[in-house]
Amino acid sequence: MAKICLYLCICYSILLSNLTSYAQTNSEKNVVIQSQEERYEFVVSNNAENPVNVKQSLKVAYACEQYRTTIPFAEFYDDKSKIEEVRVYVDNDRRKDVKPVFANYSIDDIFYSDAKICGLQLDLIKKGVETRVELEKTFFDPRYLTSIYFSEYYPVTSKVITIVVPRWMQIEMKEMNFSGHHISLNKTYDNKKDADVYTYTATNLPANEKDAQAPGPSYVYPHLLMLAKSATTPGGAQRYFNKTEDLYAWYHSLVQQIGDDEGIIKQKALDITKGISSDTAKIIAIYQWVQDNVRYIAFEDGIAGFKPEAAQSVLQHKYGDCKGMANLTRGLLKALGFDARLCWIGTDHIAYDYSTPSMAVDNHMICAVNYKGKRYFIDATETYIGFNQYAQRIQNRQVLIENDKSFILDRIPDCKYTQNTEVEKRTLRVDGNALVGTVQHLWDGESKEYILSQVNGTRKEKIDNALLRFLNDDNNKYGITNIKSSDVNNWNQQLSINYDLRYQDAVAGFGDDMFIEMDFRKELNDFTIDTTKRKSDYLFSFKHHVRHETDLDIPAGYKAELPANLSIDRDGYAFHLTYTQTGSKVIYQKEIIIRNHWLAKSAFKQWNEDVQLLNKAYLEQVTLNKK
Amino acid sequence: MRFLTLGLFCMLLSEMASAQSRKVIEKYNDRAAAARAEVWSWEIDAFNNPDLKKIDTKQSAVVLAKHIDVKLLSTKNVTASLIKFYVKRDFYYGTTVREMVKINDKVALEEYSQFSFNKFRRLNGFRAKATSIIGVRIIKPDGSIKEVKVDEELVTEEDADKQQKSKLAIPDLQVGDIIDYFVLVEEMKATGESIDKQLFVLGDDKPIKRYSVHCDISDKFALRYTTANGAPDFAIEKNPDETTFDLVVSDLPALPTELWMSPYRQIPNIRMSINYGAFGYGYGGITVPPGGYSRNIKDADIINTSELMAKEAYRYAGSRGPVEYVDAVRDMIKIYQRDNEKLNKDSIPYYVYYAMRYMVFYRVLPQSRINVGLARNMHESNNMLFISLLAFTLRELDIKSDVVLATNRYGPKNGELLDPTDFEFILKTRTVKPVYMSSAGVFSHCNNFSTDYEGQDAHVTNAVGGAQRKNDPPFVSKVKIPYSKPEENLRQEQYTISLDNKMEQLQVERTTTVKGALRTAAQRELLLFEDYYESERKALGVRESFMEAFADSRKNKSLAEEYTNAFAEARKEQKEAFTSDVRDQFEVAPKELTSFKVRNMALRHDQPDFVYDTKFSLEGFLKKAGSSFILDIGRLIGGQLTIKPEQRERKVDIYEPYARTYEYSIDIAVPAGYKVEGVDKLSRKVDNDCGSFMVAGELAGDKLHLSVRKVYKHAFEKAESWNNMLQMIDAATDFTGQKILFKKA
Repeated sequence: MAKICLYLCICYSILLSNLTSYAQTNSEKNVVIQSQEERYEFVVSNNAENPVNVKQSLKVAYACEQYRTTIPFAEFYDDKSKIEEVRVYVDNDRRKDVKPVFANYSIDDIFYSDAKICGLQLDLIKKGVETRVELEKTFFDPRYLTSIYFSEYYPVTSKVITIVVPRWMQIEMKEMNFSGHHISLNKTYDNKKDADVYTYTATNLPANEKDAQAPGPSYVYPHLLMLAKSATTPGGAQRYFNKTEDLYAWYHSLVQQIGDDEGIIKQKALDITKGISSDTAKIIAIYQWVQDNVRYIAFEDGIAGFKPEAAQSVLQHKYGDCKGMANLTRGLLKALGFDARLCWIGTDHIAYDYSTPSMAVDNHMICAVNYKGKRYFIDATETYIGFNQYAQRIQNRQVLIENDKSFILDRIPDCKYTQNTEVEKRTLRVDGNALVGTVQHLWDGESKEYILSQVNGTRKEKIDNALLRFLNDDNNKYGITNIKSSDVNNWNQQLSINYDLRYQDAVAGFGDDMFIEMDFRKELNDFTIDTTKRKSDYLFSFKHHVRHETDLDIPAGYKAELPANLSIDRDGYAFHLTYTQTGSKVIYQKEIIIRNHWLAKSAFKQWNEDVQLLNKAYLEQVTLNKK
Repeated sequence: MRFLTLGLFCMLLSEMASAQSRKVIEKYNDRAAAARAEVWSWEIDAFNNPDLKKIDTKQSAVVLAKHIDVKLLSTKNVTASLIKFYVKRDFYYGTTVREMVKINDKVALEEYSQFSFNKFRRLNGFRAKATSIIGVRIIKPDGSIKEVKVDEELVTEEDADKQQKSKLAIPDLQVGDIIDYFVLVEEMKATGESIDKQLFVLGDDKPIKRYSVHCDISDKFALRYTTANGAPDFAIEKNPDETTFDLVVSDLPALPTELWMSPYRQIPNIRMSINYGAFGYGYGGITVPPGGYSRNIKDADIINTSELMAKEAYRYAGSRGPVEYVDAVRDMIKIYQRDNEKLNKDSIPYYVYYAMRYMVFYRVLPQSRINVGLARNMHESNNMLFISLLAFTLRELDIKSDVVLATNRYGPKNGELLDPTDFEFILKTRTVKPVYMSSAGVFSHCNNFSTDYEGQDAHVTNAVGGAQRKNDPPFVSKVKIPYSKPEENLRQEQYTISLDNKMEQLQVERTTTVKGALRTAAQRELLLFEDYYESERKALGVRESFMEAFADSRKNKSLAEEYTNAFAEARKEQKEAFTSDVRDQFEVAPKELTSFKVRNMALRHDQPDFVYDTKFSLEGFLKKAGSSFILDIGRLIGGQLTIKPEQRERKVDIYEPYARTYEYSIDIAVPAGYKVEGVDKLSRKVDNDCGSFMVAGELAGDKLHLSVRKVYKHAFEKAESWNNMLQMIDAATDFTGQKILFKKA
């Protein structure tokens, strides 16, 4: 009988060729990590290049609490670390048939990375039965062990992190986001190893959240920030990142090795700025040339992940990562005599600043130019943003600016929402059951960058129709003709688009009355946040500022009845909808402001109430009654 | 990123050694250098003197020239440099695709700026490998040519199959440049190894100024090919030891549209199959000797080979393993008949079909993975094996079946066939009232055709059923698969709507009926395994459910508990699915989904209509206008297909999925104290040869009744009918803007 069952099983799998591709997803409550033990020990290595290693040993015990399933397990490594052994136990029996797969880890938007993944498929064979993974991993350089996180993809019942720090090793461990979690520390001394042993015990850690538009993990999850300072080994003293100066010194040493060819770069800078006399115009020309002509391709490959590619190489390739693009921008500007500097920066995905000397502090490089007592920052990876305008992800972030052997700490300006103002002005009149007139749009800052990215991401032969569908919101009654736009290849000015409009059937006529909906776009309509599902703060892509006005001629013989105004003003945002009558015109004005792109969970209730009011206000109509 | 691993080489089964020795790399580099020198020196004028004058700069990119070179050579004809590089086997198979493309915008720049390919792939057999070589040149607007030093620019990654993947970011490529690149895939293969088919498509999403093909086929090979949709034939030349096939076409426009197309039937193409060996190709009625070729093979010969294939599948169904399914179904019938009345002969095919479907999709064994969520509804079977198991089971029960060979509306048509796989295989019982069976999924019905076969002239073969007997019904060798009628593929919505006291929400009680070809998609989204399993188990007379069996077993007792937990999880998923169903229909999420209930799961042909109820509230449809309220009544029929501006002109025939009808019967209670205005403006009547859109509104007391009906009358329309289609589609889109007024009385 067992044989028959096996046979049937085989047949079943033949027939159901796509069984695995449609596997049931696990509920949040099904899989848990019952216990996890992580041990990190700093050890002396024989390798002169990497005299201190960190040995990690990991034991993770999974169980299903509701029904059996299969889950993926992944551990990452790269050129600076190695996974030595992986063992799987099911119900305490070693499973040698479960073999790990080692492969390069492909990350969206990164062309090449040295990140690798060790992956396993783990069977959780029965409720209450433990499946355990054990692995040994070595970090060749303690600087690359930047943080140790407590929470995981699944809820963790119990986690013990042990860190063995011999007294010859100087390290600072910063406890981050511990508040609200049950994490305790027990510190002991190991005589034999002459080492301090830090044992953190955490219980009942919730699973990591999977919300979109959420803050980076370093803002949210409990973790230890590992700051390797120095070590005294038999091979001599090792200096790591004791202070920010050390971090900068290492960065600076890498920059010293770049080897830019100033002759080539100067010639190109002169070509780009040929015929331009004003300094500001030259800076803008260089910035726009790099934005327009150098494709951003991300490389994260060992030391190349920290050292910029030579400017002439980026120039020749016409592609580069952020470091290569920043270095080329700096080179071109310096060649023209400007005081241009490289800047290291952590985008707003990272919670730290340079008070913490660690490689975890930054993930990006830009260029700064000091001109007439003012400092401007240039990030050519933002392809369609204008000079002296800044993307949300770098705004108000601390920057480490090169200054030969020392460095300067500064901040990117925290731009107001007005940088990104989007204006629409409609002048309309009633024609039968249509509204006709003219419309003018203006976009600036990141709202302009968004539109230009869409335009340039559309195939040339489809742009006209795509633009039309964007402007008419896919409503073919919103008839647009005679479109005129400003130069879409110049993002150092506002983008303007003007057109004639015939909005068919926009006037609902019943008897002697006409009803008109004055708002066509209804931004944030229904943008309530499901508080039963969302666990993270919400991050808008950028600070929004929408300013729309519709002027409507009241037809002769009619009088207007106007809806009530709406005015909501909170710390982080404001909604203002106003209707006024001026002579024979109804003027509808709308201003939506997202002052703070970070909407905290604590503000969700108020936000939802306010959006409900906005929804309701959007439903109100202007009534034109026959006199 | 452009992935240059040609489609036809993707079917690899083996793995690649993790690292290549330096010697191999050196040899590869030498071979690559030779290949580049050879390709760049091709004497094709379109590459050497591209016509840059009449380039359409409004297009994102224009293919100035595309050439495909196929070489199938006996190893004795292969050059020494190749033999040095590869381990000598029986024959050499090389395909080079070269394209020269003018880049006119950043989208095209992005498309051609990164390449990914596998330098080496191991093939079946000792030290056998396939190699990919690429070459890239950039022609600047001033005419200067820069060759990319591929080996210096490559980065290499290793994927989970231990295959090394090379990535190349093209340096110094800008808008306005011309990229001239090729990829050459070379294989050394042995007798018996398959040769991937070639498909030459005379069209792309960008215009092609010159498209050419050259094939050198040694006399060791037998070749078959089919030209379709007006593709020109090859110029064929016989040389000593080989035959050459050449094709040149010019000025191919960009493909017209993506809406309602059947590319295999509308885009000119040539499909080619090649076999190696002393006996050439011989299967069924098709015989091609080595050195020979067969062009546009007769359908009768393809049918003949298809019969053989059906026979082989039938034999396999009776072999150890698959036959266990047959036995299990026979056992189910025995138990059913023991517990119920005896099945009459007409009912047996139906029972067998649903029992086999149960075995494949419903049955749960202790070792099965727990998968009771909505994802389970997507499972499909291998059709050939499924119908062969059915045929075998029926034969055991003394019912013979024939196999119907039908082309797919979205595949090659009769007269342009190349292989048996161009047919879909359908089972037809040899009974007075034939029963048709095919394409099993979780919710497929017996005696129900996929709409993909509609309108096809299908061939019937008795290869499986055997020769006609005296008592058999008359054999018909051809059947026309009928088109389904629009009323057979129906989605019917009935709404009873009232307004809440605040005049903000619509309270909707909705009954949805889904029929025919529209049914399965709705079932997949909404039905729960727990429910349909139990329904079918009972209908088939299976005495014990798997839950009962597990609960009674000491070994599997805990499984029953785990399944209970998984069912509870799936029920939550189902509620989300019903919420999504409302959102999909009205393009806005319900404020609240109060209840949902499936009235009829439509699991079988004799209860074919999927019917369910939902009760919910909607916001955003009522708009305040002074003391009155406007109802967006047109939005109640949900989002309608909108034709994009670029799609409004059409010169190609229209392949719709099937004829279909959408009906809405809407009753709205007029709130007390209000009167309704605007009902008279709701009526519509567009009715032409292609479709209709009709609306009738009627006010009776305090009830407003609206009936809306949208019909796509046919599955296929000629291009000339496009304006009629637009009339109907536009009328429906236009109606979505309609409003009525509730005026304070």
